[in-house]
Amino acid sequence: MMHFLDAYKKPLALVGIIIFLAIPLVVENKLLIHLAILGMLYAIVASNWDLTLGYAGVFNFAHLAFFGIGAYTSGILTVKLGISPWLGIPCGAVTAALASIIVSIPAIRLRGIYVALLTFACSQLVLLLLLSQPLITGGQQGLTGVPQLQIGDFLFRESKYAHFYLVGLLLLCSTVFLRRLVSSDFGLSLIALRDFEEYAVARGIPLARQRLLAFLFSSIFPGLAGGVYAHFLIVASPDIFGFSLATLLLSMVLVGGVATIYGPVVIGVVMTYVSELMASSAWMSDVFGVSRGPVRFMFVAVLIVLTMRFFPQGVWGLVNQFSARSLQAKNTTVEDPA
Amino acid sequence: MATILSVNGVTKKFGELVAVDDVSFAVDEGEIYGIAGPNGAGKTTLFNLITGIPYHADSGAVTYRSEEISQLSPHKIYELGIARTFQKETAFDTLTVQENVRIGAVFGTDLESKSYDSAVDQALESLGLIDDRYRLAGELSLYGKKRLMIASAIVSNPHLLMLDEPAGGLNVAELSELESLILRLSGGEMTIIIIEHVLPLLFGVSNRVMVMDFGKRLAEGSPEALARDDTVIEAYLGERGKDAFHAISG
Ligand SMILES: Nc1ncnc2c1ncn2[C@@H]1O[C@H](COP(=O)(O)OP(=O)(O)OP(=O)(O)O)[C@@H](O)[C@H]1O
Ligand SMILES: [Mg+2]
Repeated sequence: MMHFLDAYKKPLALVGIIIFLAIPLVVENKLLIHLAILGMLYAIVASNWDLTLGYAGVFNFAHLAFFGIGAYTSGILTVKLGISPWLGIPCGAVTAALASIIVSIPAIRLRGIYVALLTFACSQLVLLLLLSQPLITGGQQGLTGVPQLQIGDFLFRESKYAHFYLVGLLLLCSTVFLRRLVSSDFGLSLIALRDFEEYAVARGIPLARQRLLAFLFSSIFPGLAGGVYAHFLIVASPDIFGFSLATLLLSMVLVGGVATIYGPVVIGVVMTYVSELMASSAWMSDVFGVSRGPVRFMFVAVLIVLTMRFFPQGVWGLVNQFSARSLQAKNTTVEDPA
Repeated sequence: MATILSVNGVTKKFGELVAVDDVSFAVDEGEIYGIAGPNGAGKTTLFNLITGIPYHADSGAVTYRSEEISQLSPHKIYELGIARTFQKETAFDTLTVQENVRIGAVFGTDLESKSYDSAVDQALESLGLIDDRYRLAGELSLYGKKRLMIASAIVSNPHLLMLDEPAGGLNVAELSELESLILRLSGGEMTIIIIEHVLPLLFGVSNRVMVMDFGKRLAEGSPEALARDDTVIEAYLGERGKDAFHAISG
């Protein structure tokens, strides 16, 4: 059984991707497609979070702010200055990158809980800044009237496919970028610093520089995704900075498996479906007798706790473990003909 | 002979405790310089001050090849060609043995990227770790981890190698293997400073030995001279121990 999993890992992944790509071709239900797009955007944010949280071992709770800054940058530039969304989205990546550098400078010298506190404070500061300028940002209501994406006369929101494949491409680029990064010597240095900081610097790894780069690299695709998100939903909302979205995204990283990249990608999409369908199905609230919102977040919180308690390596960690074991089993049978 | 490292009056305090107290010494190019002293004498703290990990000296100067390095950040010190090991067996547990060594080759060295692999292979080979290269470092035995730490230190061909109790916890066979390794490395023009409690090993390999006690430099000299020095024996065995020692050795 496990031999099967191992030998067919690549083809299985390919089949999975092809099935996923076919969703808009065969599925008529608008909500399911909408959730797939949302799921892929969240998967981008979650898997990039895995770079700082999982590989660098840094509790960066300003990560969602990179996504939010991308959304607001492109939203404001297109609504207030009338520039094209296609220019606004990369601008969002640039501002997100700048924000990542600003937050990383004080954060890289701190440890553990202090990093979490500082970065959380930074993200709340961005939120307060946005709320304090309602004329520009729309304040509490969010920035409405964000233009949708369009090429010539072709409007993205009128098409079943356009957003799906655009975001799919973005997720693909992000995943390839992240996987290349973590399997490079740079990735090695992040893990070394995480595993044993003093030993790592004793072997010539420049701590501050590597951590700063980790923040920077983790901000670019979330910045782009934020812009696409705003034009997809035609609104940039302060909810992005809220605790509920952060918890949901955190669950994608933890349940998916820290320091795997693939885990948060796959579980990011799955969790989006689970969480949104829970929010929109009436029976959940009937069964639990409470309103829908809280049930969903209780579920996410419980899932995080159970994961940490019973399989801290996450879903992808389990997959890796099984395939490693089957590989070992295979090797021993080869070495020992009896 | 040229001096590679010179330490002048360095002091480090932890609150009231003076862990290293105005210590000075100089190490010549190519020599093996030993450091001995009872537990808590300040030997490891002295290593920490020289390498900047995790702190620098409160006062005093450390000069490496006529460059003042006492306030330099640790990765810069490694870049200059000073590589150390730790007293406690230390590894990047979630990386493979090979990756652990690669870390030492890639950052802050003047190796070209195309020679990383061969440098890593050579270091693994010389520490007898070739067969373990794909294992996770966390799975290695104590001796395995100690050798891995040395492999990742020598992969960059440092000018100065600093070993903190490499022999701690090793059996007799492993000890003699370690001894020949140290001599082999030294033959290849590496200068070595070694802290060691296992005195036969220390006195066997060192050209000169410094003895520390209570943070101070107590004595320095050739192994032969020190073995006859009463203050050294007293530091280790106490006043009564010294008498016993003389009674036994005649
Ligand atoms: N970070 C620290 N904070 C407070 N005291 C410390 C610290 N590090 C070392 N010390 C104290 O400084 C003194 C010297 O310690 P050090 O580790 O340098 O001794 P050592 O000679 O290496 O001993 P050993 O042979 O046991 O390794 C000891 O009394 C130790 O308790
Ligand atoms: Mg010590």
